[in-house]
Amino acid sequence: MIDCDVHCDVPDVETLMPYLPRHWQERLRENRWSGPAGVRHCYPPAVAGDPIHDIGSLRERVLTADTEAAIVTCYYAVESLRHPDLTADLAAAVNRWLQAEWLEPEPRLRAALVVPTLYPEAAAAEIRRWEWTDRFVHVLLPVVAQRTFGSRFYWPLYEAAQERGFVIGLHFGGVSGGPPTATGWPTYYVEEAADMANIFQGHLLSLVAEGVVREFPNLRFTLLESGVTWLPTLLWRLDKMWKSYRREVPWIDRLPSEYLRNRIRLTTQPLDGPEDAQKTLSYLREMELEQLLLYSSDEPHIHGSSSLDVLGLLQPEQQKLVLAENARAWYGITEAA
Amino acid sequence: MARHNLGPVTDFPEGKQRLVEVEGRSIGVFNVRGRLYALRNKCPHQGGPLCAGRVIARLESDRPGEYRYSDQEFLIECPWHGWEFDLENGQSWFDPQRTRVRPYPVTVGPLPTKPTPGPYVAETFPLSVEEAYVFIEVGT
Amino acid sequence: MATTENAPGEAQQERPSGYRLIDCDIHHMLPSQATLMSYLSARWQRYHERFGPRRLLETQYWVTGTHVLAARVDAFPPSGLPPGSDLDFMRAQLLDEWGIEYGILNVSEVFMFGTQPGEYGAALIRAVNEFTAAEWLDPEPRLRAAVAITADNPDAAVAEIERWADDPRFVQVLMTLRNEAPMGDRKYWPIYRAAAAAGLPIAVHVGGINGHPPGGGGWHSYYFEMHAGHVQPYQAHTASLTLSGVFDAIPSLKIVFVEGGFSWIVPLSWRLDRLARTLREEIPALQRLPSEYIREHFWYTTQPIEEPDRDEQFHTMVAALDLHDRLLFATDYPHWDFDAPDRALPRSLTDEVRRKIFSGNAIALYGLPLAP
Repeated sequence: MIDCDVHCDVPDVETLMPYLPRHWQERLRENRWSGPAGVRHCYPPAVAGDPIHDIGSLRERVLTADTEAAIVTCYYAVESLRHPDLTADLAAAVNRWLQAEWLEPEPRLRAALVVPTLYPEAAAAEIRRWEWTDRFVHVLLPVVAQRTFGSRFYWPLYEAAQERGFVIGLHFGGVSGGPPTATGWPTYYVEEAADMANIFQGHLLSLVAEGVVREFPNLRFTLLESGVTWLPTLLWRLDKMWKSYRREVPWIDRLPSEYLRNRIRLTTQPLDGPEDAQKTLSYLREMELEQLLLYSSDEPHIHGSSSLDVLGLLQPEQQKLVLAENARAWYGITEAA
Repeated sequence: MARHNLGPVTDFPEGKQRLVEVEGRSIGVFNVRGRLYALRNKCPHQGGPLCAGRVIARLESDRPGEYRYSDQEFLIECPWHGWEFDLENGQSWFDPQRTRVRPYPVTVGPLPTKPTPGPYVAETFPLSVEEAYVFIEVGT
Repeated sequence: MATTENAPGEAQQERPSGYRLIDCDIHHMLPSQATLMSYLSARWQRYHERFGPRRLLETQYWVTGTHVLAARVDAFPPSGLPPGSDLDFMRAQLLDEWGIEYGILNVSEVFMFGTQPGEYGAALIRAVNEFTAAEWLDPEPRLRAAVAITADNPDAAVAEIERWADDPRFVQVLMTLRNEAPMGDRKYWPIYRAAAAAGLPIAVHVGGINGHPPGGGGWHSYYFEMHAGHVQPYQAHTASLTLSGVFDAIPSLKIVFVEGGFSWIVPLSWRLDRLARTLREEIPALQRLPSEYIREHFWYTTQPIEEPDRDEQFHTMVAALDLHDRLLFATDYPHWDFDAPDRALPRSLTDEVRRKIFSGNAIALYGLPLAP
């Protein structure tokens, strides 16, 4: 199995201190900063599960004998800090911490690269800094953002990512300062979590409309913790819209769904199908979604069910693809000896 | 096939589009840069009055922000949903038949060749000019 | 040999013969500023002239698009009036052409005026409703209309609903898609109570200005993505309404999503149910699962019709939530993405379902009297 989305958390700000420049060591300690509030906002205790703070816990609780590889996501809400140096230095610190204390001791691990998404040039610099491009496999873009991800604003980041062979990882969560919906502040977490799918959708519209799929022909996107079953209706709408409005976006030279099916994959947790696993499977088949799936447990987050309930119903050939081979091809993960 | 005289060629000046009725069919006749085209006034999509739409030069682009107009290729844009059809042969510009990504291997890198034109075709009619009169051929 | 110059386009024949047709989304509009002025008091005429709307439609996306005023190219009346503002032309091109028995008007101006603030906003929207009654409903018995309101001014909205409640030609209340808060927010509940008391569904239509990027992840750059992105706010409202408890508090409340499509409701209902089940503790007062509220309280107009890769997928979506009884046919005249009654629905629909979508569901929802 290749688990494409597993979460670890920075236990406290002190953990990052060895990886931060002196200026921040002093200032953050002086101000007794306890870390970004955005992490708990996106994953309150009711859904966060028991956070995983070190490699030992990960091995014990998540990695199994069957785990060939796992991609670790460390969300640290760096985008909630607007200071251009702090946001960039925090991102770099998280990456250094991941490399030293997770990737180095555990060869099965891969990781999402954290970047300062508010400053795409700085993000590009962070992307280009890394030699370990086979261990950091995608660039983490939490989807709650101030700009749609197709915007030319982000192109320096995409250029660097494409150049260095990174996939872009669009992930549930993020902090923008504004309401995470199209219609104002939600009342409940359940509501906000449900609405997150809309934000993924808006970014896909943007990636197509702005021509990112054309400008960066080798750039690929993984949608992490996004839900899966909402995708087809978006593709239909996109295709329908393109047939009418191609002349506004003439760089889109074929059906948007064709681009997207070629360039995106989605992790399986959560699938968001009906309660009946067989019905979910039927839907995935009818909508031709299986080939886009990458298995993920999303441990330790609480979803109420596991995608394995559905994936276990697949034919063995299909299971192999979703549980490991799709991810192997997508991320270039070479088979363990 | 029957041939009908639509009238003097001077009735079809450059830059104009006119509707005529032939054998019960509404047909749009266009003179674009001196060339004559005739299309059925009915869009294959939802039946809209295709020939009430605009004639536009083919617009293509190789990258975002670039807009490249053709001097020679013209399309009619349906006044309803804006679908584009080649004036010459009625071919819809895009492929409405999705080419599915099959079977399942991941392709890393640029997409393969562009899709072929699809089954949506607007009906066209051959025109000829003889001794300054425009003739149209309409099948039964 | 027959050459008839400038013959009108072949009549949109093959209208769905044998089917009654109710068009649940038509956009009429003010023919001019002068008309608007004639329905405003002197005070608001002056304000409108000297200051004007204070909430700006953030950008005119249609400017880079391919349809002027987002209208069908052939919907510009010969009178020179804007599309949808000429009743005679609308009669000919829409009502008579297609044999429409009833058409429900959702006034174009709500797009801009539905979220203008204060007394000025209330005055504008009242003027629009008066215009609708006088110049559309009075002369044309086939037409019905929505009471447009300024939802972010609930007191004014309630007053406006009560004003028109006894006029049976107003069949629903119209809110814009983008208000300051998601629709389940308690500030809107007095509006829902007033609508329910008057027996009027709440209709929601694309439009409004609330200062939030419509996608939630930033502002769109192109008309293409903005228009495709109309769907997301409807989903946010569904989440909000079904989790808010409003349907327990106001059991007769009905919601009509106009011009939002419908297939997205299926995966959304699954997502909402999963979250609601897993996180029961967050909303202990919620009595039922979101999908149950969805089944009972929501309707959807069909335009812009879903065009999936295969007809079977259309049926899968309709069947998943028994939407046969919930779809309301609409053309969206005079907009460019007009759905032609004879072509828009998949051919493979059964006769029974077709009848429901074309008229049966609307007749039941709006209580429309049928001609003998």
